[in-house]
Amino acid sequence: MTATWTTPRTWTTGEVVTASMLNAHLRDNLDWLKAHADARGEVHGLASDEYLLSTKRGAYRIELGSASVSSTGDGNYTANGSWYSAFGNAVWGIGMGVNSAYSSSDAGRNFAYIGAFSKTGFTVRLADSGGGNMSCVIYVWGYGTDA
Amino acid sequence: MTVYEPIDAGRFEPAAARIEIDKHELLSVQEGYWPDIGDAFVHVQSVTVQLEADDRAVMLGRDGEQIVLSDQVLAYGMRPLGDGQYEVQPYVDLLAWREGDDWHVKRLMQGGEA
Repeated sequence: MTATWTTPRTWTTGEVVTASMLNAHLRDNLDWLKAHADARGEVHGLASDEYLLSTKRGAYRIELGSASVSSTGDGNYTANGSWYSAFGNAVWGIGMGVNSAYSSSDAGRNFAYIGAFSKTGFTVRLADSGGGNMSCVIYVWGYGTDA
Repeated sequence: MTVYEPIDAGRFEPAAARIEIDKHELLSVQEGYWPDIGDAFVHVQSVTVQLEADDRAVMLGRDGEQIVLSDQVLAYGMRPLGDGQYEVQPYVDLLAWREGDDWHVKRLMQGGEA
């Protein structure tokens, strides 16, 4: 993938066009555009857990992130996750869900919550007062501007 | 082992800081910028730091934009208070964290990086 995008040149009347100019302004820019289109995979350019809230990129989107956390008895446990795409000028953790896979039947009275979030990721905390062991995946919805 | 967590930041215009942790747990930061709350971004200076056995989190401080090592994840970004209220925390972001024997490092991917 071409690393850089060159702002397309405004051509002037009678200008002699060289191979390097064509390579930079046509070949490399077309390569750059194709590579980005291919990398996005879909017309809307979203990853599997990203959801656009309008028909225009640059608008708000929501993204589903996850983090795995395990407890070994009473205590507070932390897990971190990263968003697939960094959010733009705003990001909010708007909700979460827990998919539990208990490794012990006496794990109970557990409370999971969003500890912090930024444009690039989030931290979830699991408070275990049930005494048993458990592991689970905590899902967090992020909401913010796409760019 | 170091696990790099790629984050698509193609629309974040300033050159992103780049963080690496080698097999000797030497953390190196290549100078750049990191997204902050709102339209803001912060400058991250180049630095090399030896990680110790009890270090579990690498934070980016809001005051002085310093790299801070900690044995736990410190409050960063924004913290939900409930009722739609949020509180800005003293650290901008969590840049890297340890899970078991592995370090996980956030890596902002810009401009078509593979």
